[in-house]
Amino acid sequence: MIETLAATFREEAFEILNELETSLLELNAAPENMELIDRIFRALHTIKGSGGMAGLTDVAAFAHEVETIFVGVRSGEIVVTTELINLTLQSGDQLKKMIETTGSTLKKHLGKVDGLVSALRHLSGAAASRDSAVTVQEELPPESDDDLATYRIRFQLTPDIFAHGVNPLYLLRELKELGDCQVVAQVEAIPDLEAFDAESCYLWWDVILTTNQGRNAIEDVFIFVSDSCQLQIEVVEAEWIERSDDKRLGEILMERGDISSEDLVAVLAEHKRIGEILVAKQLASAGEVAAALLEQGQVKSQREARQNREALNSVRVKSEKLDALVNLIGELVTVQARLSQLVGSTESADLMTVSEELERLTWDLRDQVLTIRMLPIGATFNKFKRLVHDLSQELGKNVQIVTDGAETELDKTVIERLNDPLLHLIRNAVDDGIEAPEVRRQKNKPEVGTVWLSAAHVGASVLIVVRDDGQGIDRAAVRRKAESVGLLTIGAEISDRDLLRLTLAPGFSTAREITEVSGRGVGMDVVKRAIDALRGELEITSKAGEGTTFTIKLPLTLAIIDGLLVQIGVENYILPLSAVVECLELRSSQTAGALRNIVNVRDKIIPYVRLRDEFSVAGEPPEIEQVVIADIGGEQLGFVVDTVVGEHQTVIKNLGSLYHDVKGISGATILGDGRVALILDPPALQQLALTRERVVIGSSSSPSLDGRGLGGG
Amino acid sequence: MKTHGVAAGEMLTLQWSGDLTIRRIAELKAQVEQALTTAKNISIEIAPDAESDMTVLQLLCAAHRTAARQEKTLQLCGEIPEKFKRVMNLAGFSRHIGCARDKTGCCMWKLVHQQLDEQTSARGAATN
Repeated sequence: MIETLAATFREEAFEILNELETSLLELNAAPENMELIDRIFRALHTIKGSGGMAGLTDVAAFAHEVETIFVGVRSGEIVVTTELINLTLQSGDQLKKMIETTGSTLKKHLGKVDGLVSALRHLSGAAASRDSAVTVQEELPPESDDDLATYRIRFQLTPDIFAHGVNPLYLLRELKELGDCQVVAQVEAIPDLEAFDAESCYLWWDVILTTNQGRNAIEDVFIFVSDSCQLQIEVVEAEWIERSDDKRLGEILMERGDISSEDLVAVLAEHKRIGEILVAKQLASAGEVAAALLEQGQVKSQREARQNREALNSVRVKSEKLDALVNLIGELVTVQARLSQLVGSTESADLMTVSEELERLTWDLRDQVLTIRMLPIGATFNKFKRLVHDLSQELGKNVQIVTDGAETELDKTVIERLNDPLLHLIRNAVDDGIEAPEVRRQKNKPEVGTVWLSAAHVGASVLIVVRDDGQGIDRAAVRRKAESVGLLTIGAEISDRDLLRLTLAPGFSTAREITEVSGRGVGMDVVKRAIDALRGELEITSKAGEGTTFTIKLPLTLAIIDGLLVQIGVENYILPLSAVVECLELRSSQTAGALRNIVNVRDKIIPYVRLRDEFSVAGEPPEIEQVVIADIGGEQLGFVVDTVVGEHQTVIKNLGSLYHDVKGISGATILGDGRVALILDPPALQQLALTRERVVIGSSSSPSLDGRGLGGG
Repeated sequence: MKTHGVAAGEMLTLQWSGDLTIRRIAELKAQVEQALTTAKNISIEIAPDAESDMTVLQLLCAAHRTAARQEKTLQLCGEIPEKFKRVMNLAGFSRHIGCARDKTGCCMWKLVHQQLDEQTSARGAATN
């Protein structure tokens, strides 16, 4: 049981800690924002509570230390400083590590914990005390859900309760831990000093509690005093919470049985504030009126909270389950295609109808499931906020990150695999793009450098833009570097776009000469490869002195693509349809005697690759072949195949680690008849052809960067 | 621990610090009773480090009522310590309206509540 609890806790804790990190970074910019402070407090409080329940006492104890600081921050005793934020960020990291590790390995973290705890305690001790208002609402409820209810709790303890060692403050504290709680002590029974026994309890309490823990949790609080306690628990009517107007004070007091309807009518006739009149006439005590007023306020705030919550209904599902579901859909799509093929060869109209219906349902189901896998990219963005915060401190720079489109949804796998390239781009932007504060001052630029990170849907793709307002890419330095490593012939003409693209070449990034090359190109080939693997495109623009922009265009999903099925001999291949521009016929007469593999399309010369040669497919090509023209990062390249079969919904299957190094193939798919088709990777094929071209031509001439005029096979 | 009274004319100030819980509540009650026999106006100053519980809150209420009946005043004076305010809030003593016997509007819980409200709005104004 405890293991299950711990596993559930771990899963939730990481989400909470990520939220904690985001809130802390936001708090850095707005240290007075009480909402953020509350959010941070709640995150720490939840980690503490659920960690303790899951048996991770070290985690709970450490979270408690950090939480204590934020109790001080909430009450205004401790001022939010950068030091506090940094320490809390480190504590969050530490909590993550502690949650990840268990058993004996946990011990090695304890030294670090001690250090952080003493730093935190030092901070709370050293914090400047300042005037503060005690928050009447000491605890906010845990993340609300549909079970949230408001309870009216009234309890009275026997007069001798203090003598039994019971401290009612503990009961009230426990109630407060259940949710949003307001307490009114009813003091009417306290006598004058002459009759007052200082060790007797004369009080009773009205508590308004909004919680999702249920009535049992409330009763549990009183379990140890059940013999010495009169307890009433009532749910405040749900329909009132749903009502648009506020219930009047008189109604609440009548409902509680504190006043009669006759009292109410008589008092209302006086046209004064009802609470004051009732107290003055001793029809209700001040405490009773205060409790009713609190109930009124609490229900009002609960109603508002419920309205805010409406959009947040969600279900937590393990991602493995989703992956399994997508795999099953993949199988279903394949079987359905097979069925369609079989039905096509029969004469049965009924069977045909059923098959078409099944096809429609299958595609709907596929679309729905793929939508479920979509996640907002915001969580990844938040990681980069932390990165920029840490890096700028480390480098002594002043850099802010501005994000946009965090709600943009992308396939879960794409988001995961996008992490590294984005990390690289942002690190480069902060490290090498943004200038030091004094340099920026000299250039009349704002001292605070900015890195923009945005995401947006454009058609069936997602555009992710990383932009900085730094020094931009130094073209002359790029050229020098490219010439020195043999990527460019000395003095060769090259377009600006191609020059910038040189920074993505593998050879470019072997040395880190940041003083000369603005640091761009360091590991940029890694970024390029990662984007290619996602079937994405990377574009660079840069203005000297103004900054650099990287634009990444990505497909929405990696699980299923629209493909173009082609055949060479008996082999089947799939080309991603998104890359395909057009298909043309290629007659053998056109190619006979040609020195280079080029085709003239409406007066435009386009190079092509013979896939039959590329994949060493045996047999003779037909008289009329097909050229599939593909657009690869703005360049056009033809792929020559025997026949073009047509469009094909392609469920991508990985080839497995044995085929990891095979270039030009990104995966495989199963066709309707059960045969396997390989999925082609156009950028990799282009790269292969270019490499072969360089070998053929040798180093005597400059290799063409746009792949024009690939040598014949 | 410090618990002593300072008389100044008709005003007597009790300075309470240290343990203000059930352990010493009988002694504190005796002090208040004594003060009410000797002075017309009593103020109680609670030290920032004082430990309090429900019994002292009750005692203050009882003392205040007795003073009101005798047409005397009894109030908390000086800045109310954070620690005390926390206990007061947790126990549910902070309120808008004084009790029925509070004819002069000097309910100490109401006054502390007003003080808190003022601080909250001052903080709000400072951040706006």
